[in-house]
Amino acid sequence: MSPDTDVALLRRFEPVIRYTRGEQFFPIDVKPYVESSSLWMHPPNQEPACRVPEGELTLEKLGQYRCDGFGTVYYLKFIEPLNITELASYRFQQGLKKKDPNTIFRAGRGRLARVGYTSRFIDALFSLSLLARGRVPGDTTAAAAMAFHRILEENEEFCYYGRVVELNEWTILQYWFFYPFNNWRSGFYGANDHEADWEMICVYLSRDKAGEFIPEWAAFASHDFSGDDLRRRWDDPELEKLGDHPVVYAGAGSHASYYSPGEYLTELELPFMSPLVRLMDGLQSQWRKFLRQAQGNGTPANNSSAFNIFKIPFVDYARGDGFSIGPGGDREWGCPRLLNPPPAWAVQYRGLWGLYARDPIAGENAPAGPVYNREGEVRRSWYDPLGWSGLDKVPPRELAYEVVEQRCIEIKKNRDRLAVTISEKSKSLTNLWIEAAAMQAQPHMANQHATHQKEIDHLSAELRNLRSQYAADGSLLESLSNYANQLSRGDWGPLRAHIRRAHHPASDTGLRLSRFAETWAAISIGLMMLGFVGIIMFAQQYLIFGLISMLSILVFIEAGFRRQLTRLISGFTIALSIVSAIILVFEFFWQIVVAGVILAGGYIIWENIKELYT
Amino acid sequence: MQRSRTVTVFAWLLLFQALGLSIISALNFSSINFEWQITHQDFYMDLPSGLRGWAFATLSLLALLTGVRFFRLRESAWLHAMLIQGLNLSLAIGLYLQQKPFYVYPLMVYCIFMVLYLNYSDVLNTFGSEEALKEWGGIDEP
Repeated sequence: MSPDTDVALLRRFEPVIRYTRGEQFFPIDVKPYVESSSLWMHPPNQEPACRVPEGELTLEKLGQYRCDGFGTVYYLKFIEPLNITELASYRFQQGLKKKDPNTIFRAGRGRLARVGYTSRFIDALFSLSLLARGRVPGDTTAAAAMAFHRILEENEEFCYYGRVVELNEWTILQYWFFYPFNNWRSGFYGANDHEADWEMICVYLSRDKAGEFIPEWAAFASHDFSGDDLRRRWDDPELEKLGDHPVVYAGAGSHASYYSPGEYLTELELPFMSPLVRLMDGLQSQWRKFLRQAQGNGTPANNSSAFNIFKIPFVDYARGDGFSIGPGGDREWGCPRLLNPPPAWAVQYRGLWGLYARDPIAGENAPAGPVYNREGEVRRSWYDPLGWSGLDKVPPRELAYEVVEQRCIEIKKNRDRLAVTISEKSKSLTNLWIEAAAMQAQPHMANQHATHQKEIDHLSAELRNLRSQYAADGSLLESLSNYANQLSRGDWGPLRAHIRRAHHPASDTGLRLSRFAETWAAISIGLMMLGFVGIIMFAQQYLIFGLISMLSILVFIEAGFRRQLTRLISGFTIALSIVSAIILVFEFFWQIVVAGVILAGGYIIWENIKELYT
Repeated sequence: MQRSRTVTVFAWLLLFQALGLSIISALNFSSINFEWQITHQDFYMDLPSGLRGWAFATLSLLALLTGVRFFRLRESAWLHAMLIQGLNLSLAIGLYLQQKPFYVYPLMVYCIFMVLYLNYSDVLNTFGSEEALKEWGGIDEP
């Protein structure tokens, strides 16, 4: 397709992005960003060195080939942190500006009020760990906002990067958005801050018989989701549209994309916590399976836990109540920048698009460009945009009927071949059996008879498999035939059958807490630590009693606020049962073993006697 | 709401537990030295027996009432039954750490069995404890 056709197609399905109030950064062209940045190189075990200073860097220079050995990290540095005078001046100016109350972000119910003590405690450790691991300095957001406004003053144009890919009869439109900064942590109580942010959505088109493009699916990149869970069918009500333009709700500061407005609880799993997370998942799953708890509504017990206390929850605010860009929004998109063919800066530059904070968890390190991930490997969404959203197995609608018919023909042919083979082998088996029967009781034929018997067994087994295959193919053929009828009626099946775990905004039902409860959530961990120190200092002789009492009171207050007394009592009782079971095993190990053997023996005797007399 | 056989059995088990607890209570009361006022030391030795007796008597009464609530399929019965097992187990573990009287072990075994029974799907579903299931991740949100 020509560049003009690509642009027209991208324009036709370009999204509308709705942001949350208080969002400071919006998608722009990379050129002014790169020109305002410097290029740095960080070889392993050495201090970083500036390769191209600020003001001299261009997209052409960025796209030059570089090779500096294993472990070398290239990165851009968009802004220098402000000094105290500049920061004070910025804050003063911001304070003087009369802000529209409709553009100010209010967190509402904090993320901490939505989770329990263990998560809050781990969260506190995570916050403290920011001091030890690398992070983007706190005043960087202010500096980035200033730099971003300078760029907009020169050319206030919001744009996206578009790519059109033809693959397996699909036409894929990729929309890439470049944000100069991600201030999720400092602006919206999220997990991380980093310079530069690349986000992407895909629209999947097929062609009808007349060659017209038909939108069939859309997929939005988002935290915690992958594969089939990323995409929605075009007629799914969850996928909001304005004409042919899908509506994206962008997370405040994080810019992650969501289908519906709301506040999403995303969970960050720390690498060293992974074994504990898996252990908790396994224990919860076994408990449910053992007590058949999931049978009530027909949902099989599965391994995915709804919530794990060893993951740190963060709220991604995608309310969509702020600025919007796109058709029908506050601002229209500028001219799309094409990524086909991919420009040199996208293909040649494998480094990070912002500060390399040396954060081992990587949350504070800037991302790489649209083609590569942080490790410099090609992103799956780039080289396999179909497989990325699990669509590589799905044919376009226009072809689905043909694919089914083709498959029916293949299976029928295969069945016919199988029928012939079965008939031939069946005859051979009969012949073998007749021959073996004729050899029966003739001593001189003993060896031949044994060989025949082996062949009979072998052939019987083979025939059994072939007949089973024949029957299975028959059932499959019937299913395919029904499916073909369904498709011919224009019924494409359930809208959301492919989704295993859907994005759902956090519900406020039953969680409408008072201001006091929110304050409690914010201060409880700190209070617990102060109480611990208090007991050690002033009542050391009552340490255990004091700690248990303090924790019990805190937990009880919390459960009351959260209307989770049932859960508290249930969890507490189950924990006590486990402790009691351990005591019993400790005290009566051999007696338990002997009793178990006696019971097993008795059961076996009972079953065998029952069999004798029935 | 229909009472299933599982729930009926559980209600009888609760009544049986109430009976057992009242026996334990009686045992504790019987070991009190009623002349404890005479010596100061006896006071401290025997007061816990009296307290234990009252604690078990209270738990016995609660188990009895909860058993009746189970028969009448009251929604809160499940939570009350769970609470009683928790209190019984707390008391049993506390006694195990102090004096290890012989009855703590059968009490523990019985309570563990009751906790498992309470969490069995038939019992849970009868009392509409889907909320509890959701909280534990057993039911997927629609």
